[in-house]
Order: sequence, then structure tokens, then C-alpha cells
Amino acid sequence: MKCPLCSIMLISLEFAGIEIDYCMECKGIWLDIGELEYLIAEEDGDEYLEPMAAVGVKGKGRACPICTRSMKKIHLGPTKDILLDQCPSHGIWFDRGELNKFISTGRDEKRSSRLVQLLDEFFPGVDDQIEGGE
Amino acid sequence: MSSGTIFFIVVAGIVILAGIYLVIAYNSLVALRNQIENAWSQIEVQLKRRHDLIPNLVETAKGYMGHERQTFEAVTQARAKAAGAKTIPAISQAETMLSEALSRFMAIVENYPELKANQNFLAVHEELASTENRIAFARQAYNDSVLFLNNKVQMFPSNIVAGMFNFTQGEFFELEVPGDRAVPKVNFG
Amino acid sequence: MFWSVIAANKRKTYALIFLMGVFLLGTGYAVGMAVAVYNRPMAGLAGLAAAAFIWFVMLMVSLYGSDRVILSISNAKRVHRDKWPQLYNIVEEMKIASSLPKMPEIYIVEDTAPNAFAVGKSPEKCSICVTAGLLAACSRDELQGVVAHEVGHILNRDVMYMTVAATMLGSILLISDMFLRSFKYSPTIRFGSRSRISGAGGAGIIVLVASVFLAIVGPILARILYFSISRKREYLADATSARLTRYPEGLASALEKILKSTATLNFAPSATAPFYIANPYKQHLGGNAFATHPPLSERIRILRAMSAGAGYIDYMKAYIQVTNTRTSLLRASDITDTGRIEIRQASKASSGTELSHGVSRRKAGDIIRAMNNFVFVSCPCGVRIKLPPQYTGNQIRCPRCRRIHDIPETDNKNLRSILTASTALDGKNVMLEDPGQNMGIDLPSSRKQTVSLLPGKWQTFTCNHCGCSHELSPSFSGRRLTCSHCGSRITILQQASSN
Repeated sequence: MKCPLCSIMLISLEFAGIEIDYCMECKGIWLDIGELEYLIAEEDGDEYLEPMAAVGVKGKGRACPICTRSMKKIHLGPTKDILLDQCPSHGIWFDRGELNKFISTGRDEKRSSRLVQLLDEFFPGVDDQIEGGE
Repeated sequence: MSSGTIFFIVVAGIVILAGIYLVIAYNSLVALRNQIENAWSQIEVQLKRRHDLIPNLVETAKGYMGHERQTFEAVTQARAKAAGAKTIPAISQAETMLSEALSRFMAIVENYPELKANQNFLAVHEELASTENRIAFARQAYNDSVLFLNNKVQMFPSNIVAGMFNFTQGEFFELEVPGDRAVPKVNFG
Repeated sequence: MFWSVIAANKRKTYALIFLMGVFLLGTGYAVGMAVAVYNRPMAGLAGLAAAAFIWFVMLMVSLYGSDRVILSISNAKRVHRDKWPQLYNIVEEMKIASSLPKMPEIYIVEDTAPNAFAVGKSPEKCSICVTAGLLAACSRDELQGVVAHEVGHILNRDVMYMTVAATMLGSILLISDMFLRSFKYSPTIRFGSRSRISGAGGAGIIVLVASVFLAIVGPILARILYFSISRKREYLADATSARLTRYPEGLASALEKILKSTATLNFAPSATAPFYIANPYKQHLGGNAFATHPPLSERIRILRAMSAGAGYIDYMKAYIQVTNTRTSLLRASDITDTGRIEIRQASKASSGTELSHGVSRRKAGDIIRAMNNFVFVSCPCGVRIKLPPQYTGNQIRCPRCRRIHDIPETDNKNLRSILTASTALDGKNVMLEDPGQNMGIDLPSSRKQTVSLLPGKWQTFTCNHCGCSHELSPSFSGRRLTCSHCGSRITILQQASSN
């Protein structure tokens, strides 16, 4: 599986029950569609799923790392400042920083999703890392 | 055609058919007998395999449960006895004792979680468990084949062929019931 | 082994080959006649020859290469003993139990849905395939039950019939597809059908109608044939499984897992999705959706109703009791029990852990990764890093805690030990079995039995007694913890937040 941006191989990371695919180069994150649903369904039922329902946006996204078809551009979460790439049958791609934005969006809503909490735990300093430039 | 010729043809036909039957029946009897031999050798192979695994098991376990000397010795001794057994009744008795020693050993292993988590031990344990299964299954397969042969030897018309070529009934092999360990004696003609 | 079933399957196979030949030749002739504009008889003969050729090729393929074709469609990978000793052992046990003449080849299918199937034209040459999902979800006894079920199909020659039928079905679909295509694009149909039919007269119409009929009915026929496979065979294979393993509960609980999972597990993880093709052979053991299989729930109930013993007679009794039918499964002559077949004890080796779907799916994904030479690195901070074989470099920095790890060489070791060295976490405060014992990871050298918990952080520590590692969530507020592995008590000190 290759990063849709850098075309290098993604590595998989597993932590406390979630699994993501991660690009060592651009720090982008791929979440399998099942991962997201599994976690959301397990923790919050449909309650959290509702505001997270993807809103389709016009425009072609990048190539899905699995099927290589171009992904849809979507908004995920209650606000509309994050534009993500989603392959309807395979998963969602978060560019660097997008995941953290997504996390903070979740925080504003004061919904203590395990997913949000864990993703934050997973990469405590991803943003610093990017801005600090290693 | 005279009636003599017809008679001759009929007789010849019957003889040929009987001959064909004889060949088929004989071959299937031989096949069964070989199957039984195979099944028995499979049992022997698995018993040997168990003997080979035990030193590994003991070696792996020693580091973790050093003060369970007695248990080790019981297993090692039982193994030595089983490996040294020559006659079939002796083998089946020694193997039963070995099984008992091993199951006592495994019961004690339950008290050693570190050992249970050890990769080598897990591997040896899996092999040993599988070998136990194989011995059980090989015995079962052996007994099944013996039953088939016995049916053929007893039933008409294959019993005629069996009688002609000295096929005798095989004997069932029992290991588990103490005191009633049948001797796995197969008489191959 | 059921002699009457074996004989029936052999008969069916030969009949199928013959009928298929007749059908193909007929279709070929009809196609030739219908497509031709000039020189009808010659075209008919050409169609006949083409059909005969296709039939011959298909026959050869179905007899000598069908297993390879099906295995490669199913994305199955051959595994040898050293790769998965337990699976190999189980298959060999069943080989011994059933007196199979040769050890079947073993394949793992890269699919997360638990399932299994067997292919091959004879017991001498057959293969047993299990999915990674099955390996992940099943205990030893359950796996044994499933393998024995497949061996049952091999013994009863169901596999032989199915393999030939599948290839033959392929040939029918191919030829009628060619026909329909020629119909669609043939200029005679498109531009001049009227003149052609009127010119050909009554015979032409008959040929055309017949060939349309064949082309439409052909695939339907093939489908019917495909589904006409005796429904009894699954029960019989279950009966064989129970008798071979002498443990009906093994198969029953495996079937239960398959039943439960079909609802939720039907997508492949990222590692395999590109190769994933849904195909009917995969549904072999599972699939309520297919008419070839009786309902799984009923099969489970029958197996669980076998309380008296594990023999064929016991299965028959349970079958009659559960299905409430009078028609028995077998002829009396088929039952070859040597007497009472006792049900054995559950094997100790199988600690049937109930895994959630998410966990067993992840475990299946890891099996597939291990098969594809991924390298697993467990970081002491709790992250497991799974590196694809294409990853270049000798080191990797953990994205969470920034530790740098050397990447171990991929040795083609036992897949299972690679996986147990980094067992899946179930999302709660859990332990990793055997943390990085062979992984070349620098564990914290000082093992303290007292652990201080930093506020607001996930934390990993190793148990002093057994060396397994534990995860503490930031929300953990207890004073003490019992190691879930060895049972020893660990004291947790809550640190002040200023720390």
C-alpha cells in the first residue's frame, strides 16, 4: 500500500486496539473504513456517527492506496474546515495535521470518543514534529 | 452349433467370470492388508516421534521448574522403558505409563506460567499434543481397516477367496483401557 | 467414508463430463449454424470442431489443472510445515485418522472472513485451504473440526465432483458468452436479420431458435447443475468430521464462529483488498446464501445433539432428532462404525479465547502480513509497527515515543511465533504476550514491581514476575493491578500532575 502523496510504502501501526497506516515521509494517515466503523460502533453507538457522517464535496481526490481509483473529497465531522479524501469502499486518508484537526474538532464538541482520545494519544506531538521540522 | 459347444461356451464363460472375480477380490484383500500394515507402521512412527520429543520437552522445562525433579525423572524413566520395550504387550504397557507420566507432567506445568509462555515450550508442547492425537487417530484408522478386512474375511463370497489365500482376521488394537490391552497382532497370511 | 456417496459422486462426475460434451457439441454446432451466412454445413462442422476442442481443453484443465486455477483465483498461498506447524499438524492428524493416501497440500487464503475449502481431483492429489480469518478466530479443536470436515469432502469425492463441475461450468459460460457476443456484434444480425431469416427458410428459424434457446438456457443449466449438488453432502462431511475428530463440539463452535462473522466480516484489510475477488468457492463452508449448503444453525444444532457418541449412527440419530425427518441420511450399508465411538475430551492445548470481531480481523490481517514477509516491531511504548517488505532502511523511529528500533531481519520462521511475539491488543488494558523476546527490542532494563502512573498519558510497563507488558490508560485510577498473565500484584503509584 502506497502513500497517495509520496508513493512510498505506508507502514502499519497498531496501538490499544486501533490500527492505522502511516506515511513516514509526509506523516499522513490512512484509516481503513472498518477501523473507523469498528471503533465508533464499539464506543459510541450511532450517537457519534451521526455528526461524523461524510458530506460529499465536488472535486476529485487522490488515488486510493488500495484500489487506486480516485477518492472523493469529503467533510468529516460537524465543521467544514477539514477536507478529507475518502474511498467509499476502503477508507479515509488524513493529510498531515488533518487528523489532529479532526481530534480537536471532536474536543470542541465535548464528545469523549475513545477514537479521538486514542488518536491523540497515538501521536502526541505530530503537529510539533511537523512544524519543528525534526 | 451342437449342444456340446454351447455347454462348453457357457462353462468357459462362468470360469472366466469367476477368474475375474477372484482377481478383483484378491486384490482388494491385499489392498486392505497393506492398509492395515500402513496403519500399524503409522502407530509405530508416532510412538517413536513421541520418544524423540520428550528430551526436548524436559530440556526446555528444566530451566523453569528445576525443583520438580521427581516429575522429570518419572517422564524420563517412562520414556526409557517405552523405548526399550520389545514385545508388543510390553510396548503398549510402557506407552500407557508414559502417557500417564506425561499428563501428570502437564498438570504440573500449569503452575509455571513463565514456562507456558515460552516459545520453545509452546512449540514442543504443540508437537507433543499433536503426536498424542496422531497416536489416537492412527489407532482408530487401524481399527477401522481391521474391521473392513474382518468383514471381507467373514462374508460370502469374499470369504472363499480369503480362505484360499490364507487371509486371516486382524485384531483390534486397544491402548487406553488398562488391563485389557489387546495385542495388535496381525497375521498376514 | 460412505461408499454409496463415493460411487454416486464418481458416477455424477463421469456423467457430467459426458453430458457436458454432448451439450457443448450441440451448442457449438448451433452457434456455427446461426452465425454462418454462407456455407452452412461447413460452419456447423467448424462450430462442432471448436466445441470439441474447447471440451477437450476443459476436460484436460479440469482433470489436471483445475485445483491450481481455483487456488489462484482464491488467492491462496501454499504453506509448509515450518510456516504454521499447528495447521500442518492438524492436517496430518486428519490424514492419519482418515487414512488418506497422501498428505494434502495446505494453503492459506488471504481473506479475513473465516472459511475453508478443499480442491483436487482425487484423494491422492488434493489441497486444503483455510482462510487467515479462520486461523485467527479458531482454537485448535475448532480448526481440527473444520479440517476434518474438508477431509470428509475429499473422502466422499465431493471435492472431485465439485472441481470438475466448476471447470465445466466455466466452459459452458465461456461458449455461450461467445455466442451472445457474436449475436450482438454480428453484422448479419445487426443489419440484415430479416433478409437472412427469410432467406434461410424454416430450417434457419429452427436453428436460430434452438441456438438462442441453448445460449439462454446454457448458463441456467450450468447454475442448476452447480446447485444441484447434494445438500446431504454437508451433513455427511459434518458426520465424518465428528467421527474423525471424535469431538463434534469442535466443528460446532467453529461453525458458530463462521455464522456469527459472516454478518460483519466481509471486507479485506488494506493489505489484501486489491486482490480480493468474491467467488463462490470461498463460500464453501459458510454461506447460508448458497443453496448448496443447509443452514449453518441447523448443522450446529445437529452436532451439539450428538451426546451419546461421535460415530455415524450418533450423527444420524441427532440428524433425525433435529430435522424431524424420517428420511435417513445414509443407507445402513454405509455405516461402518466399529462400535461405540466415544466423544473425546476437549484438548488442553486449545484455550478457546473468545475474540471480538475487530481483534480477530486484525489478527487475520497480521497473519496475511506475516505471510507477505512484513516485519513486526513491538515498541515498549505499546505501539506495534508493521513494516512492509518494501520498506528500506535498517532502523525505524516509533512515531509515538520516538524510540529508534533496529529492524530485525525477516527470517522465514514460523509465522505463528512471529505473531505471538506481538499478539493483538483488545483495546483495553491488556498485555502483550512475550514482548519482543526474539525481536531485539531494548526493554527497560530495570524492572520495577512498583509503577508510577503519569497523569494523562498512556503507559506501558513490564511485569517483574513474568515479563509481559501492560498498558495503563490515562483513566486508570486503581491502586493495584493484577497481572493478567501470571497473577502477581503490581502496585501503581499515582504521580502528582506537577511531575
